[in-house]
Amino acid sequence: MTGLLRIHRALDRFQRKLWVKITASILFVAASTAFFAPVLYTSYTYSSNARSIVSALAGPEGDRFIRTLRETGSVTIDGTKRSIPEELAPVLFAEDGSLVDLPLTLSLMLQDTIPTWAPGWLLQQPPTTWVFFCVAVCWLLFITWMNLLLPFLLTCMGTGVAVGLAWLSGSRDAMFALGGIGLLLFTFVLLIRIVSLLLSGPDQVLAVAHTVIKEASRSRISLIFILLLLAILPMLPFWLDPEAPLRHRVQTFISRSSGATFAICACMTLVLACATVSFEIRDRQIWQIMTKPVGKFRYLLGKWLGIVVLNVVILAIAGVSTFLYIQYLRTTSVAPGLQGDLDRLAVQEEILTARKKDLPNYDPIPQELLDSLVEDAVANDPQNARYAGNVPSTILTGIERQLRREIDFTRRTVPPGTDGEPGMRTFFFDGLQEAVGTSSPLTLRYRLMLGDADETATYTCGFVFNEDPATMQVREYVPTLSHVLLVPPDAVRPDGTMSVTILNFYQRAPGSAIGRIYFEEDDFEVLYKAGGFEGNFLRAMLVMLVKLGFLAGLGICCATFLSFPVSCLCAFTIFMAATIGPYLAWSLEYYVPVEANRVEWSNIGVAMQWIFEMGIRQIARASVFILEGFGRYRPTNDLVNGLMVSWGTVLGSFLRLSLIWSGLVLVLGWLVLRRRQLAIYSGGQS
Amino acid sequence: MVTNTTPPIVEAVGLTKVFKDFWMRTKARAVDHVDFEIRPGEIFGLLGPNGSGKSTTIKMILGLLHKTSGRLAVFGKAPSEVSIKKHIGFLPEESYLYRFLNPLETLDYYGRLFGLDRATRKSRTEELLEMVGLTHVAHRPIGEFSKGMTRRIGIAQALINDPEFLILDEPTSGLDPIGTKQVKDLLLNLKARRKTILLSSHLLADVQDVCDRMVMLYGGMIRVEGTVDDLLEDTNRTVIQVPRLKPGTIQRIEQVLQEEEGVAIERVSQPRQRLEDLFLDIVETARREQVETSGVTDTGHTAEFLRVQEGDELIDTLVSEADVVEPARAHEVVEEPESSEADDMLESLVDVAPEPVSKATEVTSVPDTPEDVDQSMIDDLLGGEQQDNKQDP
Repeated sequence: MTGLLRIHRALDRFQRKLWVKITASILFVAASTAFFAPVLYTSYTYSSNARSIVSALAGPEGDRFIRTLRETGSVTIDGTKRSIPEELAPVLFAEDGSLVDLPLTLSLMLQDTIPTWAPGWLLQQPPTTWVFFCVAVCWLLFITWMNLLLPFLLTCMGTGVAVGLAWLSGSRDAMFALGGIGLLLFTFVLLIRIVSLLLSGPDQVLAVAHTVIKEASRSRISLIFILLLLAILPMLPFWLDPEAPLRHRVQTFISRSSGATFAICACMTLVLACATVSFEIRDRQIWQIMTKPVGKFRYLLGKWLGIVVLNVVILAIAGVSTFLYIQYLRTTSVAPGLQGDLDRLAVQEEILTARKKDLPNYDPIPQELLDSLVEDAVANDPQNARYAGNVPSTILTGIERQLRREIDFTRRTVPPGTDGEPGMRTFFFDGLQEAVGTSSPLTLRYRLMLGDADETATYTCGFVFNEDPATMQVREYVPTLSHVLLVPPDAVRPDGTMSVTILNFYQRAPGSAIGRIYFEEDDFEVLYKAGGFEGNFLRAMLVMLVKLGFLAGLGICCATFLSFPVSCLCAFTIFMAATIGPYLAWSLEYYVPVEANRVEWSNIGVAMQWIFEMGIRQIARASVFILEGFGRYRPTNDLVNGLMVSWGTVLGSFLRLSLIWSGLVLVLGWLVLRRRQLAIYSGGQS
Repeated sequence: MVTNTTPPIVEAVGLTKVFKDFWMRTKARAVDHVDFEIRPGEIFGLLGPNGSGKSTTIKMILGLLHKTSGRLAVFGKAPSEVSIKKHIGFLPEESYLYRFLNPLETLDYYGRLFGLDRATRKSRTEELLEMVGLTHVAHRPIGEFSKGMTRRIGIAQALINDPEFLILDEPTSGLDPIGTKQVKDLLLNLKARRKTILLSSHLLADVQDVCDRMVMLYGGMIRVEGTVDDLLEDTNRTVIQVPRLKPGTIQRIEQVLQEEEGVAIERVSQPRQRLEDLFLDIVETARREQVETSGVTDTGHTAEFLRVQEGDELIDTLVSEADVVEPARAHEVVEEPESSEADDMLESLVDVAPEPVSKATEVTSVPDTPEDVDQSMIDDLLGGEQQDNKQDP
């Protein structure tokens, strides 16, 4: 053991020598260049070919090239023959012969030029390749110059042994998982060193934050979460069903990976935030700190910053590994034929993208109509007779709210067909200005219900765009399941509006309630591409970070006046309430105890029940009022559905959760700490 | 020199602290209308048995507890003022340090809290670690340290900012005699640099050796206050120390005393070597023989930045005088035996408030020890051993 220790010390001294660092740096840069230079060369060749194809298709002779491509499945541009799979022609070309999706056409025409050894997704994006080259070089240089060469080599050896054993046992999945775990763990160590360097300034807030980072990376209480995440992430791909369609695999992976990352980070953040403050108060380390010239708010700010920085490190690792695996996953095999091509197309157009959505616009309900309906309802309810014409305003408001809900619901229904003719209703979208002129198809997502119909049966409906019968598309649907329909981009009018008519082919049976199509508010929407997946992924990670930042503040605030277990309990309760805020708000719509004047107060049981129900409702309302915003930001959900996480959302979440909410909880913690006596009466102990 | 016009570092007037329970009923009146002031450049002792209000007073001075009533100013400001903390160094009764940090990181962290630049932090950290003899374990987590080693880091952190005002709560608790002696040397060095020190201890010999003034607390109230000399001087006794005498010579001296003064010799005995000196000799010998240890190694002198700087010739002189005078006290040829008012009172306090814990036994055992054995040594050894037992069950 002593011998090994001596060797380790000698090697450690060796790696710190200047000439060793310089030599290693040169070798690393050379190796990185040797790998990335051919990738970049191929990448730029790909880009050059893509430009020439676009110039040809969009140039004066573009129509001729497109016609040839449509008719023969191939075209010669600049002396090179380019072809597309024939079975994809209906998807790539509109009925008038124009190209529907130029980017997809390009990638199909150039797919033969991508060498098998190089990752296709990397070749299609030269700037991304440069980024990866820079990241790889920086990563290796940091290892060298931060004296981590020896740990790096030891990690490589350890991982190599584990991977070798997995290889001998014939488990390919275990090989990748173990290799991934080794890589992620080492990257974590490296990033912790880097942030430690960044936080090493003399500022007190940075000093406190730096110590939190050390605490997190050396204490079991937080390490267990970090190690859990770093071990789970490389294993997630192997829990995917290889037989499932690619889009499902991608969605499942994004959902599990982002979901697990956020869930584990949230738990770690809350536990660490509660522990770092409450343990310091309990173990009296805070005496040593508060007797130094550190303001209490700066102390709390330092704690918060430390936890946020730790989350940045973890999210960076988790984000990069998730992103890289998604890029690999999108290139994996799909079912043969058209089905597989459409599957891949769906991944590209519906998931690995950033789409905005637009909901149907409904005309406001005239107040006169509402007033008259309320009047009728009051008159028709015999219970209101006792008010002798002076019905309390609370009852009138309740009736009006109920009527609004019913009218809204009616507007979202499509009547069943009669006498062989389909029932129909037209919906208007007027927020599609950004989709005007786009080359990518739009997506109509719908989740329809059909009265009390069998939820396993298939029914038929149709869609007509802009009231043009020629655009009609007939589709089969299963009630309660989401379906999508690609809409040609030219369906959007120049003013950014579009109408969609739903045709209900179900014929009403005499005396049957089945037959009326209806949908929830968010279940009929038009989606259109507004950005790329890479940027969207980054923004989603930032929103996650902002949410975790609030949780850090919450945990710290609770720990300023509660012991560790109680502060954890309190913080987790608030976290859960905040997460389910939107569902709670939705549930509250249906959880309305009767008005107080209708309660039979003489019956103690009924009265007690009413008081209990009102208490629950008020608590739920308060929690929704305060915390609903937290749950409204759902970056994982948006990523899975390919929905745009805009910079506005990032900024909004930052202002709301980071500046206002986190600021408020930290100020609350500061007020508590300012008022609280950090020492206790010790006369009875000593 | 300190004059009466110099504003005090700490000023307490009618200072009171009452602890209440959840129902706002009085649980304890820990400090009760206490008046005192600590002047710049002095070492001020806070004495008293357990539960007398020493720690509560210190915690109020540090802003860790809020006073119930009265006035308390530190550097002329409220104790909660953050700006005054940069002048203060604090060593609590126990060293409350992060177990996951090593000594280097710990001192660097506290240096950063004081806003020290990197170069200053580095040099001071190295000097302090050398001073407390922990350079060789600078990279080991503090969680693996013994209590004494942790205590040394605690002392180092209290000095990282070269404080104007140093508050030491039981500074020698958990330290071996080498550490105890070093703390005393350190205090004298700091005193020579006109630093102000508040020393709280129930090890009376420590206080006696270094303090200028002191107060004794009991039941949260001040029982006695004054300079060490004023409080300890016993004008009714005279001690003459000479080389060993024959029995006949002693009889003749007694005759003379009877004739001249009308008094008899109360006690004749041979002085014994101080246990502290014996201990230090043994350790020094072991070090010369290079016996291996994983604990504290040869401790350095007081850190350079804490020592008297060049140009302070006058202070240097004072230090050298202090260095000579202080150890000589035990070997003076003629000295006034210390006694009485303070000792009597302490004994009475101990009698009045017997403590169920072991520390009370330490105090009550004092009269049984030989008079010529250093009291602080016994206290240290007993206290250290008991605390070590507690630390490592």
